[in-house]
Amino acid sequence: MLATVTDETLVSRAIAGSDSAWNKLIKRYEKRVYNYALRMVGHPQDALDMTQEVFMGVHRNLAGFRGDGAFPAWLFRIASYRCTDYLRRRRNHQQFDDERGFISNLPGPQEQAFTTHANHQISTALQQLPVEQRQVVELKFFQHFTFEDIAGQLGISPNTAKTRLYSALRKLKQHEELRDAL
Amino acid sequence: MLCEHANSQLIEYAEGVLDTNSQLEIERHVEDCDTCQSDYAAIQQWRSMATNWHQESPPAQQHFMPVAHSNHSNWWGTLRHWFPTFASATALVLVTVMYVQQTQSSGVLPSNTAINYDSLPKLPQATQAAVVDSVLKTSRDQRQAELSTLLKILTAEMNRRSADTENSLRYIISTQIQGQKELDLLYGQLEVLLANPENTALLSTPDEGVSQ
Ligand SMILES: [Zn+2]
Repeated sequence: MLATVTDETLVSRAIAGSDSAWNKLIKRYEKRVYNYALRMVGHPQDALDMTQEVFMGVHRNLAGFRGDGAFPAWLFRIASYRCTDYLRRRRNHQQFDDERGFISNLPGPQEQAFTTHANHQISTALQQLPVEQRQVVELKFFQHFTFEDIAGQLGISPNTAKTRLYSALRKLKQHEELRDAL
Repeated sequence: MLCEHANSQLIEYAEGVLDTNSQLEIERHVEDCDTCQSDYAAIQQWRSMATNWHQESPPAQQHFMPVAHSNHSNWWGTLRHWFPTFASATALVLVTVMYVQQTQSSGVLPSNTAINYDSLPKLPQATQAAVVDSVLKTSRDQRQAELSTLLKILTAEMNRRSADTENSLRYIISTQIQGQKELDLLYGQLEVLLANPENTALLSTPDEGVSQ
């Protein structure tokens, strides 16, 4: 079996200026980050933009990765930050409706943008949640981080993370579309 | 077990990470508690949805034209195009001057204005040099504030660039980082230049300054 170069090794090589190590690191995580972004923003082009911003952020902060935790946990701290920022900027382009609050002038996730019906339903369901709740659902169920990791990634306490997750669960419990996604 | 204790551990219970005793206690509680049953069902629903997610690939690449030559939305390529023979640091200073001139009444640079680089005039080298001279004569603090705002605008432009290009994701990322390196380098050079206006020998083009 071929020995796999660890993330930590790739990071320190990339910090030392190795483009090939950096490219390997991107290649290793680009799909995971892209799929994360797709679920968070619901549109492939937005997801692509956000993925790019995440890796820009990772590159800029690479020297700050101390290696005391796992690289993915650190990467998703940056991803969460970029995601919040991205969605905040996008919300600035949305209209405020007195009765309904912020309404997106973007259409919901398009069925044809996803390879499976389930993906479309999952994405649509996630878009029903406020960003803070969507992030916790994503980091817990799709990325399988611990509440301690999630707390670090979002700059909140583990208890707050858990509370947000429960709010999201209850909010989506009756959601029709979820049944199709199973 | 109290409902509040069981309920707050339902996720760990679903993940099966608790010790055997707790797993059993929660299992017993869930059997008799409607709230926990309902929450547990929702948790299992999300866990199974995550399993059902089919990994998507980034949008297919339409073409592999290098970003630097693809279109005018690429500010960096456009800047180079305008000033093929002049040090690029000078170009940055020049653009700064133009913004300062455009916004003289307010005294601050626009932060949200869409920038149309094509509308900037092409100037002969002598004029460029004169403009640079005049920039160097203005106060250092003011210049730094202007440059930092310009840098923000340029960085924002750089981040937006991808929306107009649909090239390979990895290619764009590495190109942007290269652009960031170039920008950092230029900014460093500008700072040196501003500290020592007479020392123009320090200027170099990004191609010379960044090893390929
Ligand atoms: Zn209960």
